[in-house]
Amino acid sequence: MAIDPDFDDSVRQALDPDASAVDRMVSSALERGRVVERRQRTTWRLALAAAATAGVVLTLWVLREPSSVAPSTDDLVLTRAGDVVMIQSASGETVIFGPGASADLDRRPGTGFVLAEGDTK
Amino acid sequence: MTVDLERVLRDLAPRLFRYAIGRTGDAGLAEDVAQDCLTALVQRWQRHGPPESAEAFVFAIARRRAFRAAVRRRMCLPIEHLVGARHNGPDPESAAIVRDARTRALAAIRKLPARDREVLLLVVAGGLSTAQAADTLGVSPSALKVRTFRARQRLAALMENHDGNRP
Repeated sequence: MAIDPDFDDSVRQALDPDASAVDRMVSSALERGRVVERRQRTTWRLALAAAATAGVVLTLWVLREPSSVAPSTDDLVLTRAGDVVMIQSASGETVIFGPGASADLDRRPGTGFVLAEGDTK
Repeated sequence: MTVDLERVLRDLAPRLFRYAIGRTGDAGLAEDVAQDCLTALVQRWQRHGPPESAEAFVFAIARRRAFRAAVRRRMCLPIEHLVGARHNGPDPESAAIVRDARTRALAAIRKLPARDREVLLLVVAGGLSTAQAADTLGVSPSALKVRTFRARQRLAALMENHDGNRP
């Protein structure tokens, strides 16, 4: 069957939108595209601001002054002899843990300790 | 760039509309589909510059959106019948002839097998080149040519029959 050479044109004409619909589609697409673009730009700015704030906070935290009461274990000496434990600092302070003399007989393991403090220097 | 973009949009809008109305059978839905595709193009253009082929870009989107719109329409049709028929745009007397031609064309297009319909809508209604349509559908250009020829013949026969059956 031979097809009319204008067949395609007639199909297109039948399906064509009116001019106002074309205007509507184009202007709406441009407007919506712009709105989305603006929203994305705002989101990016907010994300950047959040990242910058996080960076500043992290830097401050890393560079903060070391604590004035930094714990140190180098100058503590721990000595154990039987039930008695002695902790001695480099400055001479000593703490001794041991079972109380009177609670010797009926003492359960891990209880009845007494604490003695002193200076050995 | 804005001028170029607007020119491209004006060229693509009627082509997308024709394709989408052929797929959905509904002018309102077709306008929505075309608008979504054009919006996607505007965003792509503003973010990364113009795509290699604006036609390929929008028609790839149009195929997916039109499918979804057609499914949605089929699901909503019973509801529309309950709440009253959907009204698509103005209906002055001067537009009656155009609408009649559109109704006839759509009725004939709807009777085509799905594959023929897709080819015909991309090539004839959408105005894609053989290479672009073949690329969009993932077939060889020669296969597409054969399919387009067959689809044109079927549609012409259907439209002729329809005209012949008119009172």
